[in-house]
Amino acid sequence: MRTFRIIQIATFAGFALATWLLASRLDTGRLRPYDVGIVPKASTLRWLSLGHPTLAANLLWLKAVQYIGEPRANERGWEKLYPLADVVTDLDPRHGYAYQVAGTLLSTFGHVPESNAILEKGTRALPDRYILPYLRAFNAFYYDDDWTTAGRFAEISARSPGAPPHVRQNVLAYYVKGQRADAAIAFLEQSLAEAKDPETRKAVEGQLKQALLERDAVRVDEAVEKWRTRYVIGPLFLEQLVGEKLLPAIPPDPHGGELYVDEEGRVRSTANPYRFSKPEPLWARIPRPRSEKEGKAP
Amino acid sequence: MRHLVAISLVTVREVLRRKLQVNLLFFGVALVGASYLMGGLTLGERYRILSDLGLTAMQLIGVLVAVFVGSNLVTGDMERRVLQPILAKPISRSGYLLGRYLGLALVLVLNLSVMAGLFALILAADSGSLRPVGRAFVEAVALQGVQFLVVGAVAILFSAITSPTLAAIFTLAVAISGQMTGEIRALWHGPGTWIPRLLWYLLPNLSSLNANEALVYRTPPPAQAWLAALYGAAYAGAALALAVIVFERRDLR
Repeated sequence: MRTFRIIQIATFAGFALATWLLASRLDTGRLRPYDVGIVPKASTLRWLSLGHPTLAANLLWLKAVQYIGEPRANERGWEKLYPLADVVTDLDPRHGYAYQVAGTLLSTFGHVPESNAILEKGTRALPDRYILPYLRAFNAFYYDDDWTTAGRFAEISARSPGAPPHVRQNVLAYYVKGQRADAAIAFLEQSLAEAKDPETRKAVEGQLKQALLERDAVRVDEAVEKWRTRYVIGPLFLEQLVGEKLLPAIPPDPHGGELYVDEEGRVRSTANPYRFSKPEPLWARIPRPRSEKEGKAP
Repeated sequence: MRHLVAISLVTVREVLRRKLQVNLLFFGVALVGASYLMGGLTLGERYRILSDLGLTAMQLIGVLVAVFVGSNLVTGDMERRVLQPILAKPISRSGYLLGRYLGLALVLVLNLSVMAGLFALILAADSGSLRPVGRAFVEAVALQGVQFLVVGAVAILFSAITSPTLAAIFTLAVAISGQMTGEIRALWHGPGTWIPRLLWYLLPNLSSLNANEALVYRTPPPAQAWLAALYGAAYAGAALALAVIVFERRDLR
């Protein structure tokens, strides 16, 4: 009887030891960074979700969160993030945070066209979520050096309900830097017409004046540049540009002061000397997305 | 009427004593609780995961109780030979069947109330306010209740026709297919559309009684949802009427 009991215990101990050893072997699979093998099609998941597409979207989103949160994500790569976000938002087009997070991360890790695609999809699906076109505008100027597109998306963002007032300033800045001050003026004139409270009116009026200044100042800047080419030094008075027929007339200062040329050769207003800086070249702005495969910069 | 109430109360007591019902309810409570933990796995918008998973857990358990308890109610009595003494009393077969269904419905509503109460507590505790337990929540739970009643009626129908095992399998198949009717509707275009059309009218349209999206986005369910609730009541009525017709003619020997 006692021998039988010992055999029982020994059998149990043998199986328990084997289980522990095998389990520790199984664990080696987890040394690899977390990855998603296959991203199923949205149409397949829709069928499999048994009438619960939002549930399927949320479960896939949890997978996407694990994918994003993997500490060795750069070693693994980010190829699956766009398909994941695309399927999640196909199943639940109102999943605003999925567009936002995927759009931000994809551009950060060098997948700018995919980031643009998911943000544009979100902008179409959720017209009241201002942050999506706002991020798309950021991608346009920061990664693609396309200030006009940035202005267009910032304009969509500024028109979204709940957009903070500073987005209007972005529209102005992007259009001006994209040499499209006329588009900024059209947008601000419409904003002024729609402004309901005196504070907003005042702010938009100031921005409109700046847009008008930027539009006219570009022409004066060009005339000053031609003068410099001709005489090496800049003009002492702006009237000299008219005398030399480089300008038909000196445009009025929308801020109510007078225009003058500063030491850098840029035209400014005496009432408000602020001018938008010229855009930096793309190479000076973007650090290349780093991956551990490429090694670190010295 | 008195007999109907008596049978339904007996059914409630009987079902509440069954291990299957108790275990499933316990599992349901655990699942709803687990949705709270799952909410912690997400990145932002925790409420979205919590509400969606919690509501689906309730639905899963409610449907399973309706299927497995309901499919055993009538044929179980026949197999245990307790049906004949009951029908020997001045109780009609239809009265017995409807009493059984009413009892099942009470149990399903009771289960739903327990799970919904816990779910509401979790949502309120998570957000620190009663805002998530508003109109969208109440309507989503109510629609889910209608869904359980439809599945329960289908279970009673199959239970009146066939054995408990087959009744459970058939009811489960109908409950799963009923969740896919939204997709079946998409197949109405092109050749051979009479098959999806037939299925659409034959199967209970349970997917129209899902209010997960409305709860996740805290919007009231669309007007169609209330039409769907009426439809659900009509479907349950039709299933019970058919069950009565079949049961009246069934040889109980």
